[in-house]
Amino acid sequence: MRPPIGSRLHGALDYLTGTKLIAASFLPVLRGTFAGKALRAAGAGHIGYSLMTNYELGAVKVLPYKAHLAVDAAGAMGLAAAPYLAGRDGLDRWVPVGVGVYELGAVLLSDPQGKGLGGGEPGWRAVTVERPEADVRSFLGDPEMVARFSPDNSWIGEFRLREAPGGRGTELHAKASAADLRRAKQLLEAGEMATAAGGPAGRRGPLSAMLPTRDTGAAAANGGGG
Amino acid sequence: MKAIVWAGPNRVTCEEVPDPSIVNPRDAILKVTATTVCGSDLHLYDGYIPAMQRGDVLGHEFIGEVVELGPQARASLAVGDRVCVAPMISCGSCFFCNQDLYSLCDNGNPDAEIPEALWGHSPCGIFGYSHMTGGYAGSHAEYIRVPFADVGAKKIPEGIADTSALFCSDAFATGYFAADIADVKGGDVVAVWGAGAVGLFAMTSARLLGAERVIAIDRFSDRLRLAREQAGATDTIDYKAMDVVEHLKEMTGGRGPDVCIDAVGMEAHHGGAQGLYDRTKQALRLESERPYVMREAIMACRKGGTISMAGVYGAFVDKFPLGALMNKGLQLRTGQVHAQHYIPRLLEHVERGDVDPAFVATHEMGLDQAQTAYQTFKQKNDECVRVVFRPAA
Repeated sequence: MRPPIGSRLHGALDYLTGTKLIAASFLPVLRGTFAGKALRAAGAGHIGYSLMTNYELGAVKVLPYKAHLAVDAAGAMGLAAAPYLAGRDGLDRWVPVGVGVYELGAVLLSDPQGKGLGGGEPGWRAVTVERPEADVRSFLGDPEMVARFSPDNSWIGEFRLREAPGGRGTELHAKASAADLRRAKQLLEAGEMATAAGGPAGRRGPLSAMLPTRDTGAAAANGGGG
Repeated sequence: MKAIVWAGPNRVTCEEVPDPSIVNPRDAILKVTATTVCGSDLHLYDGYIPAMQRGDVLGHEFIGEVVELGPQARASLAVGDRVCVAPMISCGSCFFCNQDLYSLCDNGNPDAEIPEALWGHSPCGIFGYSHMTGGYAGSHAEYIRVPFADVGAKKIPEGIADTSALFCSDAFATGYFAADIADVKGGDVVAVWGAGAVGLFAMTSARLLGAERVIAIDRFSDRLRLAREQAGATDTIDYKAMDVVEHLKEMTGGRGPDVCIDAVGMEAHHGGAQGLYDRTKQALRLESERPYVMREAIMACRKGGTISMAGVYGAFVDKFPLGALMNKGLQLRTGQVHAQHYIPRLLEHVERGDVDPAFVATHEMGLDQAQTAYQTFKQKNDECVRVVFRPAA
């Protein structure tokens, strides 16, 4: 069986765990202790090499995902071993050991291919478009349209078209992101890409910017404006 | 402009926010002349619909006056038009819209991956209804951007007052939809759980469609009175005072109602052990809904009858009587209202004088009374059925 955690989910866990470890190190019971320092170092290190990993949530994608997993495993074992090497006991021993075991578990549950839940390369996906096959083909052959529905240039142009049963238009099967396919369908069917981006909103909370969105904000691409 | 924004569970505030502007060719900008707090807004207010963000502008039931149009919307609308707007943001040209199933639109939700992860597929976009349905700014504001306005904004005939037209946007449309999908016909006995605005309009609509008896179920005597006096209910049940299932069977000669309409949804109330059980599970997020109404409706409905779900549900329930549903051969009809399809028909009913939906507008407040308005509506204080804002006034 494929391990369930994909690279995207693993990335989210990396940042979440890193942040939590740093936060935990400031708890009164851990502040200034050996365990607290170990957790803070582990959390900061984790966020650091996650930012450098070549996966969805990496910033500077230089570290291969498999190497990231190896660093995870080594770090987890190092964290668990540290209190023994330093001759600590009590909380100083069991907190790093616990965190190390948790991290090791997360590595073992992660698919080295990055597939699995929430991750991996774009696979084959499909949408059905209420338009004749010829229209869909000429649309996908138009670089201007491609630039509109795939603003991050992730469209590699690998696709198949098939007539949908019952006169329901054309099935577009493509190796592409779900968001690209959705926007292509929107342009073909509705003539514009739905967006709520940039709409009025009140004061945002601190977490708002971190929530994921696929709404790319299509103002320029749609040629709207009064 | 001023707008009511969500500021966390049970907190709304009136804030100064930027004016909306035309983004897409089929957009319109409306001056909001009337908008109301819907029962489903309470699920957001209470914090039960995920993907709300602090600062989101609330509101999805509204009418307004067109003040600006995108180039493609000009073919069907003009500046100055008075329009009643569907809460659903639907493209009008996909497979579903082509069949008048507007709330199932494929193209209205720019952030469809959240509902796809939770529900398998995404419904349409909805104004002011969390980032599950697109994160569109809502109507509790002085101005609103209406995407796909050529499909969603319906002109209001002269002579229909604002308050009467307002409820055709959602409450009346949803009530009518609930009766319509249940295929209510002459001679039917229809039971409606919940005598809020949607429930009251479900009763009204069941009568319009020919139901012979309509039974209203609620715990508030003022709402049950409205049901009898304004919405055509022939009988009422106070569920605090009696066993609903037993009583419904007795009232219908043992058969059970032909059609049971749930106009309550995920935050139903119930006393006793069952209530405690679901409240605890919901508080621990082990189930996201409190499904008493669906449980009762399935148990009460006559064999081979139809259950119509107009109340909103979000995710998962517990102790759902699937065996009764199957062994009694019940039909379960569901969905968000296809408002674009129903609004013109309802405006005709109002124009002809068959119904005046304005009777549910019990309170009127300013946007700056946001917290009072939501709280009054939530607690049903002062016999509140609906609060109306008139931001343009």
